[in-house]
Amino acid sequence: MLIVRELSKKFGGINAVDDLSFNVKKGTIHSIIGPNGAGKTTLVNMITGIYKVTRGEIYLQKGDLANLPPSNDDIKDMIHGVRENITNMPMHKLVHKGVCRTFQHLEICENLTVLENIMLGFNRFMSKNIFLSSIKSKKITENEQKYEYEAIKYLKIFNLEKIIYHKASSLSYGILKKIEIIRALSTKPRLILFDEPVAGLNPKETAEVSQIIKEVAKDGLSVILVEHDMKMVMQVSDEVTVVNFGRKLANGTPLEIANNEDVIKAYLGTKYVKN
Amino acid sequence: MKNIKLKNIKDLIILSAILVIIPFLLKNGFYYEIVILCILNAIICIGLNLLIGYAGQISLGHGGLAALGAYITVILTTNYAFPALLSLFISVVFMAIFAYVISKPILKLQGHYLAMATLGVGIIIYITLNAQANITGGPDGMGVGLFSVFGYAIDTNLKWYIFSAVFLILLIAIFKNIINSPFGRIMRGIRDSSQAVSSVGADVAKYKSYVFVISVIVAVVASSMYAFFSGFISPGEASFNRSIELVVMVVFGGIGRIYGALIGAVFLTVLPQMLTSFEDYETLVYGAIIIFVMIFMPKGIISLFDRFNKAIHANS
Repeated sequence: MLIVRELSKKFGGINAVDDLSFNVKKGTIHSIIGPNGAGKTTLVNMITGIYKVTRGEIYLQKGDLANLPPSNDDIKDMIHGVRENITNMPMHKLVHKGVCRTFQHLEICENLTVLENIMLGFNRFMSKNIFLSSIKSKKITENEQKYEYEAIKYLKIFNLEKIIYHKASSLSYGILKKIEIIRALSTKPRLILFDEPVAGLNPKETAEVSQIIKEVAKDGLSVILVEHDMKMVMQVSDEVTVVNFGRKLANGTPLEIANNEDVIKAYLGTKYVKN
Repeated sequence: MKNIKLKNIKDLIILSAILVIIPFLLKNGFYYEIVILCILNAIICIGLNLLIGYAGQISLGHGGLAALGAYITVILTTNYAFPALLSLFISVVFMAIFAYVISKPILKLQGHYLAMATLGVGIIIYITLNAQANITGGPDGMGVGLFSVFGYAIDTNLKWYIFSAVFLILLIAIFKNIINSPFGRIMRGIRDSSQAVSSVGADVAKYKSYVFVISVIVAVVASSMYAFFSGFISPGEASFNRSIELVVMVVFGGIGRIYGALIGAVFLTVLPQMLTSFEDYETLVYGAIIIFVMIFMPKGIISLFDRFNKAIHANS
């Protein structure tokens, strides 16, 4: 699905991300963990086009071929249209390629209602022609109704149907985190990046979000998860990449990672293994 | 279904009713002038509010941009004998392109820097209009011919009043539709979080430019109309004070509300006329009123109506 190859990012003289490579398979949850400042968010920001890449490439596998193992012949693959180079592609264009994300720090439109926030996600399927909008053409109204119906369906799944007309600024952090996830899902992505989706949530909310993420992957979406909550990461992940000082420390299944001595020393701590 | 539709245009019906009544209350030409100026200012402010209040981008150069557009219309009509409507059209197209081009670098800036850059644009226009005396008449301004639409001259106060009132109603109807459309949702989203908007696939820079262009077009049309109405135009229209005045009207009335901009424009157009009895202290009182309102009604004059509305609903 996603191939990250020898990716590096320099901020001044510091290597925030250094020569990092990994692949995300279709329909799997791929977690990226590491201590604070390891370069996890920098990595996500590079994949989603917020930061310019210093060196390296990011490829997106196309269509049905997304679950094929990546070959090492990038050029041949690109010629055959199997994969696309998405390095440094701006975020708004990536969404149309099927890549979407949530943010570590909430990015919610506070003065919009819950429904409007979700509708923003569906916006990419709707006409935004200014002339049609100004006369409220039939096409605009019909589209609006169609996607409003769908947005409410999404909100119902998350038990948020009671607050659809509430202003986002009046809601709690936990609910807004969920709304951000729904908004990302409503762009109908193939690959979704969650940057610390459960940071600051209570155990009940964390469990809910974990469940959502699992179900998302079950539907065939690929997930990149950046998270500090080890319990959650170990539960939901299919594959884990550990990053430290911008470099890849280890890569493997949750079980392998939990028993990897380098990882224990650098990040998990000996206590985690005992528990 | 029919009821919902009626509810949606309730405000437009009320406004139309008010606008129909007003001419019967106007005793002489002077009052007409004030009312028409109110409407045209309101039109500019509603356009500017789309940029400031809804999209969250400041412009301190709208006076300049509006005046430049008005000058183009006037010069084409007066010096080159173009039909008024055609010159207005040319001016709008030119200013739309001009606004789009300058918006590309300018709207990348945020906050104070954006304010500075738009301020710069306004001042450059002001200086240019003053300096190019052979075309613009310089600081003395220039006379403006009649405005006629397909041979029908709009020459009396009442005609001007009807013309601008219809324009105002249409503009509000159109803007209400835009604000509630997918386009409008993106625009309002940008004010709160441009990251959020680009994370759902909208090109923030493009939408900022669009809104900027729309607000400039509206301002150009309204100030061209004012030039024709008053029969005179001077670079004062492009001054820094004028740009500030427009922003103050928007904020004073209530930012991010169509009727806020309308009320702000009307209030601050009428207020100086009412304060003339203070003579030397006029500006002082004017300033004091603005400060007073902003302290006690930070959401603008329109919040007064909100409270009033709330009280009615609470009682019923």
